Amino acid sequence: MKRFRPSTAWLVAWIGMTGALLVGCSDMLEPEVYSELTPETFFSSEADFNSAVVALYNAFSTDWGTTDLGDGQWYAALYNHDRKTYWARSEITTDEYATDWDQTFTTFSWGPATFSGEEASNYMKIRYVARATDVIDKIEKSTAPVPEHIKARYIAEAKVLRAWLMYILYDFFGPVNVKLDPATLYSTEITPRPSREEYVAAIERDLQEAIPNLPDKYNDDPANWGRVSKGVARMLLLRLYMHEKRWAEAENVARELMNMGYTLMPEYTQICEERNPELIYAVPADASSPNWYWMEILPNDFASAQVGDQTISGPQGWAGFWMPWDFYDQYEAGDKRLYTILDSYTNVRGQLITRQRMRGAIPLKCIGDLGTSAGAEIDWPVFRYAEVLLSLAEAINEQRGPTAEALQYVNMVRERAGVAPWTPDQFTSKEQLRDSLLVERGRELYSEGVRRQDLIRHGKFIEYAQRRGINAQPHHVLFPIPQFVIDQSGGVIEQNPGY
Amino acid sequence: MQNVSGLSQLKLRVSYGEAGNESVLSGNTLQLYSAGYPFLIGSTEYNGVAVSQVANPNLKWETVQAFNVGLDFAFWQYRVRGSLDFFVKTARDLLDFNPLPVNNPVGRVADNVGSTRSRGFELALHTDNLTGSRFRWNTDLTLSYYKSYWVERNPQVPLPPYVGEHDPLDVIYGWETAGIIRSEADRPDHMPDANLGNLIFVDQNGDGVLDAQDVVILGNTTPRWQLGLNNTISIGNFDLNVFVYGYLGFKRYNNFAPNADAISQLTTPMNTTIYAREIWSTDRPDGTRPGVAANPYATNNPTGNTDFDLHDASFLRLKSITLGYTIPRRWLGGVASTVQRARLFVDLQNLGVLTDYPGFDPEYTEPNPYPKYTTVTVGVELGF
Repeated sequence: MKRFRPSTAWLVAWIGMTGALLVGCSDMLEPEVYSELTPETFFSSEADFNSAVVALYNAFSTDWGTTDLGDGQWYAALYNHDRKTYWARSEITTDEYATDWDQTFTTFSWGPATFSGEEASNYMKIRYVARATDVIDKIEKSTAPVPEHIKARYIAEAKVLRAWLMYILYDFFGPVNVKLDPATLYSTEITPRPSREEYVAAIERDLQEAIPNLPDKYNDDPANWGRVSKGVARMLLLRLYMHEKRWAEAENVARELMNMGYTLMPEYTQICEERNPELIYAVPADASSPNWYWMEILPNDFASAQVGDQTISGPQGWAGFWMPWDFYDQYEAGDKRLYTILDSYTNVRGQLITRQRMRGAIPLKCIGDLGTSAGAEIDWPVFRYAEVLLSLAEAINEQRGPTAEALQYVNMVRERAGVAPWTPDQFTSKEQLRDSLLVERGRELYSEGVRRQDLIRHGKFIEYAQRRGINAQPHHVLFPIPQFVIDQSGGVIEQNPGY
Repeated sequence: MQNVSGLSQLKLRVSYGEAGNESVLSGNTLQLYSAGYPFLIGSTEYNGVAVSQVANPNLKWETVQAFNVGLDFAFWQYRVRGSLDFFVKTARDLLDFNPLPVNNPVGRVADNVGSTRSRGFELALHTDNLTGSRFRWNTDLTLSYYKSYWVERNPQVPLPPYVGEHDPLDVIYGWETAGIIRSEADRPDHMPDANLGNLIFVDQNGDGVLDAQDVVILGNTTPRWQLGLNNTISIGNFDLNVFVYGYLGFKRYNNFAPNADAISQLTTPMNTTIYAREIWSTDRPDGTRPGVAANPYATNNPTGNTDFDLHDASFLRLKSITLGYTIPRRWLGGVASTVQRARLFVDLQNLGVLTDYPGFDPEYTEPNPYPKYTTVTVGVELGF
């Protein structure tokens, strides 16, 4: 039998290979991830800061929603017009809007178990608050070569967005256990809900810290339209103070807003024009991020309609929402705002469809290119100067009664709408003007997602629902904390009363 | 053992093994920021980047321990032969996502979370029932049973009160139902605000309130028993093979259930199944399906599941029948030198299903699947 004698060459090759394996192996166990960003590589330039802040704006889009990479679940965006969104739930639970698509919310039969998966889209924005805390912390600590005032501006944007999200959560759920301290961001301990005072103070602090570092407004800056500005921050303070009934502070901030150069548009039909001087904030929309509002509300045989002396055409929509005739009939004769609410239209077969054959009025809100079945490119108005005037009048009325000054501000809105101004002799008490202001806000701010909070502030949310034949209870002014959140907390998070 | 009459073979096998699995979630030990949060500013749609994953430096491999005891046996000169296996497989340090508090920036972290076990047995049996030269019949039977259940749960996730710690992996939790409210007289005491046509939910603990305590186990979704039976009979030159298989012991929701919205909306017509005629309404008071009015109690059901439309989906499927005829060599004539074997056959596949399940097909979970089709194949098999 031949004996196998390895040659020297073989031996060298073997030893070399083994050596290479031993050295090379341990490197294989430390994977380098090149396709994703780690905290070490991110936050190293202004573009990074922008990307981080854009991820917070993402919650406010009009374009459906996003899959949250943090848990793999899709959630609807706040100002999209699907029935699950912040905008929609602030409307369909009121006398302003009706829909067939969500009996649970139109009949007030929601419960903690309703809010799961996509239905919890609004509550899950609490995660964006935690991300905002992360962004603020990381930008503050970043050593990137970015000028201080630019850094400060991005931090201010993140703070305003955090405050805005906190306000929205507060509006729907009351104070919730948001994470504002970067040190606790990754802790697995469940934090309890803060008190109202702490929560509101945190929103105020964020907005007030942000205001000095933001530009006044972006109405004349097309490339940056859609960013939050000083005007937006003050508007959020106004909404917060009105919510808390802190009338003196609301009045002050409204007066600051009055000095910022916003003006009412001459005609109500112009309020959605791009970056017009009445807009404090509108969510931008275009072909890449469409506005689906008109697809949601137009009837499925819609062709065109008369608006004043122009004919507006539009796509055949999904007939999801309409304005009940009871609400439509609150407008006075000759109110030019009615041009934007259709009580008749021409259908695809050329027939004129009028009130008798319509379930309700069609609240167009914006007069412009209503788009196609792929959505529209009209920016969605969120904060308008008209709301500032009406809120200021309300704040003055609550403190000093129906003064001529308060009426002066309401009349600016009424005159633009082409209706007779109110005179002091029409109002002999605070309550009278308060009730009339609620009606005026409904007429002016319809479809902007403020009706629910306005009714709650005036104590009429439950009463009006009961008038519509719904079994509404006083605790329904707040939505419940989702059941899965309560379960996860093992008793640390308290449910809202009545649920 | 040699002298035990009738026993031809008896073998005992035991095996044990451990295998690791890490491929599912590699890269999950790191904290990552990812793009995926777009927003339009001006006329540029920027893609926002946010933290999407948190680090877990303690992440390790999943381990599956499999233990198997088997018995191979044969009786009567191998006329009856088969094997019986018992197995226990335990998966430890499961790789899965551990939920993080809802208010954290990221909702989940990859972690080793608990362990599961599956236990079962498998029997494979072959019997030569008749072994004559002109008449043969043999049968193959396979029968298996297994159940997977939790051994240890994720300690960080508090279990809802209705979930047992060692429940099987595939159970459905929900409320039981007891018909629908056809008139005021049917309205139960614990559902005073219900509308006519609503489902009646069972109040399990009799406390007059419908809540998480009324949730019970409604059934399981994967079959416990799997059965296959293959019979081959040959008489002379004819052969017949019949194959039947079945899955037993599981439940499925009826995927033919109609969408009640289809008859409730006034403007948008929608297609739905003919069972929509069974929806209760004042025009159809004999209807057996719940009406379109919202059920105010349904939202208190923490699982969202009920047993209405949940049916036993156990089935036996006649999978194939094959009938063949081997042409005798003397009939082949001239070609007999090249053609060694010629057989005509008719083969029928997917002939039918025996089941109580009212939906489309108990083997499918999607509501609108591409169905199994019945085929008839006629052919000739030639051996050269």
